[in-house]
Amino acid sequence: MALLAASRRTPLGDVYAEHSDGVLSSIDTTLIRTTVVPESHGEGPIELLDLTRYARFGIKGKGASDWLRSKAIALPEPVNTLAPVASRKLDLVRLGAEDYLVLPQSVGQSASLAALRSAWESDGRERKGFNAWREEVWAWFHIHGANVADFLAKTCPVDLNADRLPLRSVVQTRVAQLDCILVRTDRTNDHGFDLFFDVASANFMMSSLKELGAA
Amino acid sequence: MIPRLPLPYGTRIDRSQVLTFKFEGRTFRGLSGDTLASALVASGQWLISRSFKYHRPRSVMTMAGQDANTLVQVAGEPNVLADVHPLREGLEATAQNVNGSLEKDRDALLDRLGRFMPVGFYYRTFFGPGKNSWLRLWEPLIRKKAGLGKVDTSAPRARYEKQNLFYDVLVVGGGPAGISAAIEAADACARVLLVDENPELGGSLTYARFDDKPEATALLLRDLRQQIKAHPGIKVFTNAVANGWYADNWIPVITADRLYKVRAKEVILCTGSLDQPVPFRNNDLPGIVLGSAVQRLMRHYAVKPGRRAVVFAGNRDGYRVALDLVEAGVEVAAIVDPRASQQHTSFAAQLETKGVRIILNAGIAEAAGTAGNKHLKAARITRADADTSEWIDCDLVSVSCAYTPTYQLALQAGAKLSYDDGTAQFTLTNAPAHLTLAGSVAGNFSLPSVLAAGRKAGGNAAQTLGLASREIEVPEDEERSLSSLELPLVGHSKGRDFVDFDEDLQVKDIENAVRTGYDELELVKRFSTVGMGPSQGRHSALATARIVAHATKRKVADIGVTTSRPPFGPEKLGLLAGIQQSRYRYTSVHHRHVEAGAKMTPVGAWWRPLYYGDQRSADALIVDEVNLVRQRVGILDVSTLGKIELRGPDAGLLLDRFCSMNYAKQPVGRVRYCLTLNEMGTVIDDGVAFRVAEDHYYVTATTGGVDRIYADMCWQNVQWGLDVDIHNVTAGFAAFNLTGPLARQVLEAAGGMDVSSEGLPFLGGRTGRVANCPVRIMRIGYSGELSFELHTPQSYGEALWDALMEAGKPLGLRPYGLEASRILRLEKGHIIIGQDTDAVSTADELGMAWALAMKKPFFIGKRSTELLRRLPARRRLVGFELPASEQDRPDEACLILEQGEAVGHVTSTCLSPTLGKWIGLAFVPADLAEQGRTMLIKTRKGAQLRARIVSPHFFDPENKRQEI
Repeated sequence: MALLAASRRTPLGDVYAEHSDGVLSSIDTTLIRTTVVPESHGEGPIELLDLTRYARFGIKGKGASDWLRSKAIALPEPVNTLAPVASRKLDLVRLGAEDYLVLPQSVGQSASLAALRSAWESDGRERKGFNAWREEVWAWFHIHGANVADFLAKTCPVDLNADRLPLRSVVQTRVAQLDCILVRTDRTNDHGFDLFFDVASANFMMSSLKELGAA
Repeated sequence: MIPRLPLPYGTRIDRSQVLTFKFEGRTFRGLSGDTLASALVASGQWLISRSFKYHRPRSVMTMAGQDANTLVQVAGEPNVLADVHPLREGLEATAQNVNGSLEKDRDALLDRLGRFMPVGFYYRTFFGPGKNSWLRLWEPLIRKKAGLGKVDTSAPRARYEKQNLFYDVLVVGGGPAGISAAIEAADACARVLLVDENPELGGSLTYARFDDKPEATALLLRDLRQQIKAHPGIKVFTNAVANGWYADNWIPVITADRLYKVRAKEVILCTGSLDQPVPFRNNDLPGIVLGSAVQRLMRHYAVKPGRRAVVFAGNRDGYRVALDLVEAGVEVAAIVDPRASQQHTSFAAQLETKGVRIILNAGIAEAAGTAGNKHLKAARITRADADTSEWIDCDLVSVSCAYTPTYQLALQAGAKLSYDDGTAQFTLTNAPAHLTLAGSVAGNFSLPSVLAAGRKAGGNAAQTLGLASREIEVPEDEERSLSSLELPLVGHSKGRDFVDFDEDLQVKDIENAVRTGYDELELVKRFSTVGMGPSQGRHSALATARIVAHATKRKVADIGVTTSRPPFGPEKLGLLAGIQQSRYRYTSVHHRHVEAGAKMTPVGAWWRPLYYGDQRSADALIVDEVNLVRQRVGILDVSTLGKIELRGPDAGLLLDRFCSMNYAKQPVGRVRYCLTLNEMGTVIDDGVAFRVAEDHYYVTATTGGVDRIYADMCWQNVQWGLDVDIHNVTAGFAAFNLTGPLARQVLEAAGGMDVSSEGLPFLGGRTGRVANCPVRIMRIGYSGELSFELHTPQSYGEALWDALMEAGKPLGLRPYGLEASRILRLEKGHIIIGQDTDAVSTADELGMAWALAMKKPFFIGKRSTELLRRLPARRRLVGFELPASEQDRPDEACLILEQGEAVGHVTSTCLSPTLGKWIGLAFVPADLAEQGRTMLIKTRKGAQLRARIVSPHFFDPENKRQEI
């Protein structure tokens, strides 16, 4: 049987836009978008984007911090914050003392992330952290809208209001009964959060948020 | 409809909108803005309910939703408080707790049998007259009578939501103190939530009479409301109840269909105080109403509450009510003031000018009702300084004598309740940090004092938040000592002087409880049920405390009130449940199973295929799937298996201590069984460990056990100080078990790896690519056939599944489900943790001593296993078989009988398609576990089947098929 490039799919059925050279295509109109709260009474909608198909990379465990420092990457301080790595067009999310999630600043442009990952994988040093499989264990949604904090307050016990939770804050909490990491990214230039959670629960998360927005 | 009072009475009603509704089958008319009770009373229908125990006629008492007298059934909803329930067009309501009808309640007879039902009678009555009288006679009778209203089980599904809210300051109570507090805090730039249970802000300003002219009060109210409305820092919830206080200022605020979970840095309780009734004989007759309720009826709903009134005035507000009644055109026959001298000369002068008679040093001894006690017709007035008494005809008695602070939330937060003998009031002290009281709940009664106290509380809250606020002085409160009066509580010789209206408890009931020996309030409560009804002691706590204090010769302060616990008021179960979302998890090829016609079944949160095909021929389909695996090749989605990465220099050591076999010496590229015990030696989980590299194990666990195993591993890793990174990657990897004699051919067709018996021997593990998907592949299986378990990152799951299905098509590859898998493993004699094990199963009992590396220095459960081995063996898991021709069938959980006694049970059984007989596993006593013996299985139909004990390895005991 001929070895063809295997087609990767997200839980919601989206195809990983993977080119033969391993570089992901840019964000485009084929992205799965769902309006969870429609526009009404002059208030804008709340929209959910499924970013699961885009690249991200996690390393955790002993040596992870040192390895990142060795690449001249300033670590976010304190834990539960995001720090941009401007030189590499990356965002570095710190989830623990030795637990990191690397995101491309622009989700479609992941060459820099791929390069960093490649450097990590090929690095022969003994302690450099371990692959945290973040691109496989977590689904990645982005939810945004002017009233997104009020909407998420129906299911999340943390104050997500824009004046209480600054940009680049990270919250490890519960959304729709699931363990969930929220990162305030305002990715669409709107008040918005990246959600990282159990990939097997992606359909449940989607249906739960739609149900909450169905009032 | 009886004409309403003219404007400005009726602030809550819209006289232009007439609503038609039904109560007890009769048609009534009310106005938009009415409550159900105000519309009924306005129509002359005072009788609204029957009391709980004696079925006495009852009507409005507080008009504030704080008593059980107005509980009715509205359509399918029981226990609706008619005095606060908004009237709607077409509303249909009925009375509850009646036998027959509200007007002709056959159980009203009980009122005459009261002497047979003294306090606590139920503790000692229902044991006789004969043996089992309770079960045969009393329990069915009481069950029939118990409960209020009927739940409509066919009611349409309602939507209830929950929402978290976060504020700097939460103000509970939207009266003058609460409004002032909210404005002051918000002026200092705090984010404020103001919550009130009424449909509009204002509290007592909306109905009560103050020293200023009513016009001035109205202006003040309008001004305060405008300030609130215009303030961007204040959010207002009306018709919302702050229903409890929990740690860290977590307050549930409930509305009709939403539960707000409010977290506030500062909480200000302006919950007000509750008007208290006065015990006298027949003090529950319809027409006997608290003074504040009289004012609410008039001011809010323009209802004239009577034609001729007697006003009991034990405080200043009694005189104010009398003035209100006179102005509304109600004849006030007399003001009955229990105090010996006039305390309110100004009010008295005004009333006397209007011809109102004031009787000082007097009390109401009893009231008399019309036929059937449907309404008040007269009150008997006695004077302390005279032996005579006087009956006064009246259809209204207004009672104003004392207040209790609405202390529930404050007490839940840890405040202390005391009693001030000077003012005859409960007082609250020692409020915890970040919680403040203001207004009448804190003992402020005059309006200037209330307003200033509210502002001061708001300012203080802002200061605590680090915000700048104004300094506020609270003026001396001249009304404090005039708001409550402590009456001597002497029961009427004929009773019916109710202390607790919910539970029909009279003065003598409380006295008798004390006399019986229950002299502490908490005991009195439990014996008498005082305070246990829907109003939770709001109108009985003070009187009960005074009665108990008097009976035990102690001070009221020493008696206090019973423990106050959330919730403050009733809350619907729907609010607690919220939107129902049952969590589910899908594997990466869930849609492929559905497309293939799988019957899906939940396994924990996961959904898994049970079998593929039409449910009507399920048995045949399952047999077909078993045969497919035995004869050709099948594929099972095992993605739900737990998967844990163990990485680091101590990974082998951790596994050695955590599981029962040897792992530190396990070669790279080999897979080894993992049996996990707890400290008791009980088997809690199993799986395999694939040594991927020297410092890397890929460990599987059961679908249901992985979370526990992961948590325990993390705990032990820290406890043992090991250098291991533990990562639960269960959802991150799809996993498929390809099994059957042709499995190798499928993989060879898919291409990518050497899967020959040399390249990948039994219990071997490799990493590589199959069909260009990255895989971890293991030569393990559960069926006893040649098996390959392929694990791939879940995003490749569909691609790998499709590639394998395509490659296996010419070989007849099809997926099979859980049911076939269960049969296949049982034929092979493999156990399922949780089905063939229980909370005390040991490896020895399960016949799995081979999995215990007892020469290791340590593994969890080893010590217990050694100790247990010193004791006689208790039981064994054995295999058994029965001919397929048996008339009845064994089932899981069927009992094993020995000389008529149950000595064990079946854990697994099936009619084996491969072997053509019934096989199974069962726990039996160790001394009965010998192979070749027979044992009796009692079937679910009661038959007894004689089964033969055999080796549990029913199929291919030499393992020739799986090791090829």
